[in-house]
Amino acid sequence: MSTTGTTTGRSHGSGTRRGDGPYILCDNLVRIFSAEGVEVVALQGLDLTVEKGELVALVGASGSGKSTLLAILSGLDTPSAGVVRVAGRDLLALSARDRLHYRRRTVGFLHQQATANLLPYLSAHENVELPMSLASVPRAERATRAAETLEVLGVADCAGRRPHEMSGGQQQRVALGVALANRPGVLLADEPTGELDSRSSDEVFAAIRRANATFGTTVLVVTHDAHVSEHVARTVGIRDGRTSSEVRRRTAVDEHGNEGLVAEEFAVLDRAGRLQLPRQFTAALELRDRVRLDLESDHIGVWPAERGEEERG
Amino acid sequence: MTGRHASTRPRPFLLFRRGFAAGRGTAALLAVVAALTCGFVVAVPQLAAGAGDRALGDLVRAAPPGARDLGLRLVPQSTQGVALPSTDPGAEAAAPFDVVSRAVAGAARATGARLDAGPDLAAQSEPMTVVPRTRPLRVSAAEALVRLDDAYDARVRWVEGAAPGAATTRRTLDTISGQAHTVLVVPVALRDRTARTWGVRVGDVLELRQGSQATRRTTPTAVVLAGTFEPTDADDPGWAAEPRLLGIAKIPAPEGGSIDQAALVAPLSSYAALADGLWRIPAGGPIDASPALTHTWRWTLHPDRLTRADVAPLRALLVRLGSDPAVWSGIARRPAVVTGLPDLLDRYQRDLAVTDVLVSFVTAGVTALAVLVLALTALFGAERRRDQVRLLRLRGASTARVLGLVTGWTAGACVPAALLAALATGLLVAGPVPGAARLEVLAVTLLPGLVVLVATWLTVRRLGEVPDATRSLARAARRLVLELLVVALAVFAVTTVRSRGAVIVAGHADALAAVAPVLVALAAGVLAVRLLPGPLGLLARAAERRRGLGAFLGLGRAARTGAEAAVPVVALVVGTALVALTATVGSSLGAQRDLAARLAVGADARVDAGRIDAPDIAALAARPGVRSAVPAYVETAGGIEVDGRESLVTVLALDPARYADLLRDTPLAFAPPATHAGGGLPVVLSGGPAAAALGLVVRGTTLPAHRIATVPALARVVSGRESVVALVPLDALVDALPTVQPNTVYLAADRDAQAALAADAADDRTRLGALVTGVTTVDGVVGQVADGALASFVGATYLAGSLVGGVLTLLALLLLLAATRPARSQLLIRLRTLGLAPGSGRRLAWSEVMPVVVVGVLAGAAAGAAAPLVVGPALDLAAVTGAATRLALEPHPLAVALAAAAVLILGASALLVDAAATRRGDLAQHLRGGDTA
Repeated sequence: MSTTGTTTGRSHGSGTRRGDGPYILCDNLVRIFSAEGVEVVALQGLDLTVEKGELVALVGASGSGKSTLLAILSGLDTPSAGVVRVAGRDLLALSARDRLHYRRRTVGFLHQQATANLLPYLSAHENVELPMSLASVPRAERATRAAETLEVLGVADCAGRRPHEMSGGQQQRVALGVALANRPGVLLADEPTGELDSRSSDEVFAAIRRANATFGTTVLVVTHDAHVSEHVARTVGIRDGRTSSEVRRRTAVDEHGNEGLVAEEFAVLDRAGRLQLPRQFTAALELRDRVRLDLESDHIGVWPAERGEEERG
Repeated sequence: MTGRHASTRPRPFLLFRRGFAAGRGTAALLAVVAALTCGFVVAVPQLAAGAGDRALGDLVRAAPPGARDLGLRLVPQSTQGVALPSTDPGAEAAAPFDVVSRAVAGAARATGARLDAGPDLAAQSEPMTVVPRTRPLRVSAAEALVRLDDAYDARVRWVEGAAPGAATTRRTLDTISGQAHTVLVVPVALRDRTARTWGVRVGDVLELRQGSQATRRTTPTAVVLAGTFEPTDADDPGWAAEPRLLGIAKIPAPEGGSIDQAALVAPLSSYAALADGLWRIPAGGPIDASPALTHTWRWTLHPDRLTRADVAPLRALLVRLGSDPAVWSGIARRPAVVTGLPDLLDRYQRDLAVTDVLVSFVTAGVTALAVLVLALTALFGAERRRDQVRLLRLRGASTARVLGLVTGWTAGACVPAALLAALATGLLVAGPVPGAARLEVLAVTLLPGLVVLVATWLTVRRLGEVPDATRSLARAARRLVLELLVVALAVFAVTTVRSRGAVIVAGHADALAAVAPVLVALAAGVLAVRLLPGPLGLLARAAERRRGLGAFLGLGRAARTGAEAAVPVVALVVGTALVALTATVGSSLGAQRDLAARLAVGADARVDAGRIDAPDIAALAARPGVRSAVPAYVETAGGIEVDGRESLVTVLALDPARYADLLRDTPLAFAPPATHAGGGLPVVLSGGPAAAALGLVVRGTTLPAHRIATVPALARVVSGRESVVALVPLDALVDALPTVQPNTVYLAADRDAQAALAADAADDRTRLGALVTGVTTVDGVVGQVADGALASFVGATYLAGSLVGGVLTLLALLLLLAATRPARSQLLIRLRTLGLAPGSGRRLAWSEVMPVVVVGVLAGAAAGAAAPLVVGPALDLAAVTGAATRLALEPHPLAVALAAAAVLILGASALLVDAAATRRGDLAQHLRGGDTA
């Protein structure tokens, strides 16, 4: 696997202009918590851009800051510093009313646990109608759109069932329908297949892809599921509160004319020039503490400090 | 679309309805508690009003006849100076009855006062010396008054002769100065027993001349005995208007010895004849009422018909009769109002105020506890909906909508149930609903919803929030401020109640006094929650060194009792304090009633008689269950004379050593002082003048005496008032005054013996002794007081308060267990994976919860024990104990200990219920619990 450095795009525009720059923009995002006298920096200058209609997987170890990022993007939390803009809205500048509108219309959220996505005493159809009801969508349109959503997600037959009458996969697809009910521009999914078996997981992910394709929804999905992360065009890795790497997948034709999937892993170079080297790279070359950099005409060489000294010596 | 329920028809409030139905268990609990509490707080004051109405009847029934009736008394002034004898016919005197009766009726109408019966009209002369004209009297000196009264006829049976009729014959009498005075001979009647004692018979003519104690100079008149009678019921209160109609009074004669005094009775139609004989109005003179006669009117109040609503009109009528000249316009001389009603009404209102204060402790305590339990239940329900709140918020529900929904789920259960219960109780139970009860209903109705509103608002605010030390500090500061506020409020309430105690006792109900015990309990609860971790941490450290993990883990977790357990612990403290307070008041009432009864009786039982002889005393002492019998001479109208000034005492002549022995181990116990030599009778006084030498007045004779000691424990209650007692050895008194004979026997008797004595006395008291007049027992007096409307109502209210407090405390305990159960379950699951032995879960629950319960109970018991000291100055238990003087509420450690033990048993029961509920949980829940551990 080759690794290539990439620089995040930055928007220097202000306000909440729509259609200007990436659909999701996180620039030098910082979130600091204080617990029992200890400050925890959950996000340490995270940069991320996502274009409209993209389906991006976020991967990272536990505690790397994925869920914090999703909480900020969903409008439930606010960063300590940095810029975060979704669909042209500066989330730091939103009033309470705008934030409410943002949650209703701009983002949809899908939790890992299906039971946390659905009200247990409402049927699937009613659950899907709920966000529309909260967003004051006309009653007639609610019913039509709910039925359409369930149809697209392949759970139309579950419309009248309550959550406990459905399988885990069906529950999660209905929950996806709830998240997409108001046709949000962004779907944020936090481990949506984490509690499912592989078959259900495939069904749910297929539904997410279908929603992405059908409704043009930009999808940001946090996952540990390699099966999922390997089937998206772009996977962003987060480490220690920063985007550390990015894998882009594309279909390419080799010299024999065979079509194949090519995955390129990029390291992320932030605005301050910081670059996180993949752990397997540093481990393979025993890069530790200090490295030697050599600037060439078309690249920068990174050498173990000792080796560089030997060569020089 | 193929869904079963997919429909586009409008479904208003779908989310509310479904959400409400999903939490129906919690909703049902909220509804039941709210309904019961509202029913209780509305019913109690309504029932109190009913009891208050009956209490007025009780007071009137127990009051002596003169004190409970409305009476008027008129002695007209003479227009001619003195009565002059005459043989010429005079003008007929006009009785003033009608005009006065009309004036009173008019005043009653104007004030709205209801006078049930009357007026009973009477006119009577002063006692006059009886001079027999037919045969000599058997007594040396006799005086008789003539009472004109029509009401007696229905209360007598005629022994000889018939009811007296109109005067028809004339007789000319000689005055002392030798002048002739022609009078109509008035037919009269006399009690047969008196007639026999005096030796007069039907047909005998008696001359009546000015008596030895006359205040008016009247001319002589003559009467003829038309009949003799015996009363059909000598206890009929109607005879109380003039007791000399039934008996002979002995009065000292100026020249020594005594004079018999009795009353003759004649119909009101003889008014003119009697008036003419005693004070003739010359022909042509102004027609007026006779100045020789005292005219009386008596209106009776029917105890069963009186209610609280009669008090104000009666007061207004009394004021009007006493001070409004307009009432008596056209009447030459205003009659004097003779009644004990003002005192009786004052006492009634004081009793009502005390009852209100007593009852307000229970209703305020129950309301506070119910609000805590309701808030706890509502918070518990809200906590279970936390995920739903998060989800709704995430889906774009506005804060107002989320708050409205969650609060509505709570209020939807609480508000209708509380209001319906309050309304139904208000309609079904007769009586007004006071403002305080409305406020309590409002608190029960609204506060749980308000608590959930605030809790949900905080939840919404904290969504997505990660623990933040700075915010924790702010929360800790807010909590500290709240706790300090509660403690400061409690201190303020206590100091206010203690400083205003006398005002509250005097009948001014005080809201602060009502909530003072609750505030003290709340402060104790807050302190308990704050101080809980200290001792439990120490216990945990001690348990760490012992074998077994359960106690250490349980105590360690208890020491870290978090906010989720704070409200249950405070509820537990308030509940224990309420139960302890009700137990204290209950036992105080019992003890004080017993003491009051003993002060009135003087022993376990007392037999009163005109005279009681040795065989009767021996028979009483031999009755089963009677341990001792002490004969005594008791004179309630005796006196002590110091420096020529006499004060009223009750003379108690008996054997002091035997009496002290009889009272041993009772609240009246006293040590008989040693007799030492001195001048005259050795007297032990319960109080009064401090002089050593004094005169003891017995039967009108002053005997030289000397005080040998003062023993306050000898004070007794006589006719509802505390009386100074002069205890003197009976044999010494008999030596000094040989006519003294025992008229009372004090008995030490068990309850069965007291009941048997009372039954025998009710059946035929002469079986106890020929001259026995009555038997009084402690149990009888206690029963009479306890059966009184206010006393029985207060007792029932405190019993109900204890039960409701117990049930609510049990609920608080169950909620405490429910609140801490999830964390305990998770710990248990983890420990099981580490090899914790089966059954250790129960030990963990006991060692975690019981220490918290014990600390809560101790704090509640301390608050309950302190409550009497807090509210004592504002309470007077005399109204419900029958005591003559003010009785304060005192702490009863045993009652508090029993109440605390009862709550601890409730705690253990709650743990057993919780364990059973955990065992009955379905398998899926157990498995899921394991999955999420």
